[in-house]
Parts: sequence; C-alpha cells; structure tokens
Amino acid sequence: MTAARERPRTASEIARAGEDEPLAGFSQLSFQRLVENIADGILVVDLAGSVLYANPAAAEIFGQPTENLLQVPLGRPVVTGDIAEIRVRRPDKPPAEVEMRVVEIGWNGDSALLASLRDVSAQRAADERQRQSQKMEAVGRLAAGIVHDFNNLLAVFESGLKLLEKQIAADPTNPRVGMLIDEVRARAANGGALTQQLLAFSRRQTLSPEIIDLNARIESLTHLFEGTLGRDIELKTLLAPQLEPVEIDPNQFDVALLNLAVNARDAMEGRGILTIETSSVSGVFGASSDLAGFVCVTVRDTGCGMSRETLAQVFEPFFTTKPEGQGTGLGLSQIYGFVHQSGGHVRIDSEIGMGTSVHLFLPRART
Amino acid sequence: MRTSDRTQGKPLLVLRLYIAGDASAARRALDARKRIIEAAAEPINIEIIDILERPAEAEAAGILATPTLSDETVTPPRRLIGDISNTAHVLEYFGCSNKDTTA
Ligand SMILES: Nc1ncnc2c1ncn2[C@@H]1O[C@H](COP(=O)(O)OP(=O)(O)OP(=O)(O)O)[C@@H](O)[C@H]1O
Ligand SMILES: [Mg+2]
Repeated sequence: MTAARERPRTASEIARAGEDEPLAGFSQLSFQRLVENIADGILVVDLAGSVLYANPAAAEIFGQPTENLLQVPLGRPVVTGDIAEIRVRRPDKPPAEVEMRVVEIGWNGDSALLASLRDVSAQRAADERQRQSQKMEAVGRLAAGIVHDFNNLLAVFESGLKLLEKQIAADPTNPRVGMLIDEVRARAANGGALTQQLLAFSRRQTLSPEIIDLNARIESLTHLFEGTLGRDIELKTLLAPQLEPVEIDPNQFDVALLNLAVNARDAMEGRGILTIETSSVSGVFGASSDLAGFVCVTVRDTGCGMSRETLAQVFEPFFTTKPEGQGTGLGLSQIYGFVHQSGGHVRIDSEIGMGTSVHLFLPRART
Repeated sequence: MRTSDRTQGKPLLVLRLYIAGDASAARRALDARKRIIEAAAEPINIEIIDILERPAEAEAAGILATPTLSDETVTPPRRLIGDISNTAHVLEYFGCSNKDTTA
C-alpha cells in the first residue's frame, strides 16, 4: 500500500506485519528508552507462555526483579474482547488488580504476544470506598426517615393509651375498650414494620404490597387521631362507598397518612378542619386518561398553605421550614417514596392562607 | 489429539484453575470452567484452587497471577492466563477436541 508508506509506520503496523525493522525516525536506543520508561507494564511472551521480555513497570507490578519473570512459566496471556482483568500476586505486598491487553507481534523472527498491563488497584480501591460511603449515606437517610416516622407513631400510641385510660375509668365494660386496644396494637405493628424496613434494606425489599380496602384502613387509623390532633381540630372523613381495592404496602400507607395528618396539624397551629377523603379518580378529576385506574386519597387542611418556592421543594429529603427540633423534613419524602414505589402519583394543591390538599393517587388492584 | 490412551469415563486431561477469591474475574473463570467441561469431547477434570485459601500451592506452582488455567502434567506447565471464556480456543490450546467438531 503506497498510502501507508508515505508516513512512518506506527509500532502496531510493524507489529501486525510481524516484522522486526527499526521505526522510521527512531533510533533503537530511544525506542528502548520509551519502553523502559512507560508507565504501563509490558511483557513479551512466547506462544508457549514463557516471558521473553519485561519492562521495569511490569517488574514493579509483579513485585519481582525482571530476571525472575524470565524464569517462571507465566502462561499464554489471553484476552477476549478489549481487556482481561487479572489479579497479580506478589511477594510481601497485597495483590494488584491489573487490566491486561494483548496483541500479537513478531519478536526476533517468531510470533509472540505483547501484553500491556495497567495497575488499577488504586482506582478500584477508590471506587469501592465511594460505593461504601454512598451506601452508608443511604442507610443514614433511611434510618433518619424511620426515626421520624417512629416519632409520629409514638405520639399516636400515647394518645391511644390516654383514650384507653379514660375509657376504662369511665366504663371498663364498654366495647370501645377492646377496640382501642386493637388500634394501639395495630400501631405497634406499624412500628415493627418500620424496623423491618431497615433490616430489609440490604435485600432491597422495602415494600410488601397487599390488596387492601383503603376506607377500612383509614377508619381504623383515625380512631386514634383525635388525641394526636388536639381539641380544636375537627376531623372529617368523606369515604367513597364501594371504593375499589388497591394493592399497596399497608404499613407504609398508615405511616404516610399519619405523616400527612401531622403536617396538617402543624399547618393549622391547633385550630381548623382536617378532612380525609377517598374517591375513584374518574368521579372527581374527570376521566383524564393518565389517572384513570387510580384511587385517590386526599388529606385537606385549613392551615397556612405553602408558597410556590416551598411547594417546589417539599418532597426533597430533609427539606423543612420548621425550626430545628420540630421538623426533620422527612415526612413528605416518605410519602413520595412510598407512592412512587407503589406505582402511583402525589399531587399537592396549596396556596398561602388557603390551606393545603395532598392527593395520593394509588393504583387499583388488578383483578 | 491426546485421545490415544484414554479410557471411557475416566478423565485423563487434568487441569487446574487458579483463582483468587470471588472477584468478578474469578466468577467469570468459574463459569468458563463449566462451559469448557461441557464442551469437551472427552472427560476433563478441572480442579479449582483458590489461592487465597491455598497460597502454598500457588507458590509451589509458580503462579504469578489469576485466573490461570494450567496443565501441570507437562514440563514446563502449559498455561493460559487472563480470560478463558473462549471455550474453543481453550480446548484447542490444551489439545482437547470439542464436542461440536467431533460429532
Ligand atoms: N399541610 C401542609 N401545609 C403547609 N405546609 C406544609 C404542609 N405539609 C408540608 N408542608 C411544608 O413542607 C415542608 C416539608 O414537609 P415534611 O413533612 O417533609 O417535613 P416537616 O414536616 O417539615 O418535618 P417532619 O415531617 O420531618 O417533622 C414543611 O416543613 C412545610 O413547610
Ligand atoms: Mg412532616
């Protein structure tokens, strides 16, 4: 090929040709210096797997003087694709993670293999540290979220016990006693499920969906809200009859509703109306195609409402407008995580001074 | 071919696969080992040696790096180092025939 002859041939062109001729423009000596000073390890290995040449960087990777490498049967280096990963064991040092590339060359008139070796141990170790710290960060966030939800649960727990106390003092034979005990027990189950989340984190199974009746779930949960919300907040429930069942994790749902109720309580500063409503989407929002097939739970309050800027950030973990010690900013991020993992959507309608409505669109169970 | 003195059902080609722990390269090598055994036309025995568990054996055999697939019944040992996932290439290198080509 005349075109190729017009410029000096590259090392790989010469190697491919299997020839052993000096490179145009390079003396043998400067070429040798190049190979001896290059950062990558270079081995020339014959087809039977004996090392014919090793540069200083290769000796460094193997942690042995060059002469030693020339005596042991290394083996024929093979690469399928671009590179092979090998691990080099070396005397008195931890093993090296090495990327190996192999090309065929001519060497003193015979076919041989040129293996170039790059020590990527430091890079690998840094990647691993980074992965580890990302995982720790995720665990930290999850733990903070669980502590947050736990605190809310404890408040409900406490108010349940107070109600129970009053009921027992007033009339221990009233069937409400048994009902309250059941409710408190259900909150204990929510708490147990939260700790399971942390344990299940490594297995990545955070949701255990079941087919549930949202109305029943809400009714049971709100029995205990009374004490948590305070005397001057009125609780209304507007539950659509014949609501389709949904397939979601019931514990996560309870926690989500609790987080919404606590947010509403805080927004109303002790006075107002909290409404929990359920509906089939088609009825309320029109048959907008992307939301058909969803059931909606709305938590509405008559509190302070939110500005646009706040609204834009509420789902971010740790975003809060509350003073330190009163808000961690994890309530709505739990809700966002839960609803999205369940295949649903969250929408918030809010304006300053006009109250807030949070809509959870949850997918109907497939029947 | 090395089939001459092999009796049926008794592996005569005995190889050793040196790996280190369960790094991804080691796992790939173990997968390749299975495929090599399946593809071989003759019985073949590939012993696995984890050099983290048995460093003395790696030392004695002069293993410089893993994964290495080694036939130590010959002197000097015949070895492949690196990626042994090309089954046909591996079998050919160790002088063993492939099921597909000998049917
Ligand atoms: N119902 C609501 N009315 C007005 N503002 C709200 C309402 N719900 C949430 N917000 C705003 O969104 C922010 C984030 O809410 P989120 O529940 O995630 O955290 P938080 O309530 O501040 O803290 P935490 O829930 O951890 O105690 C709140 O600080 C508040 O500014
Ligand atoms: Mg909150």
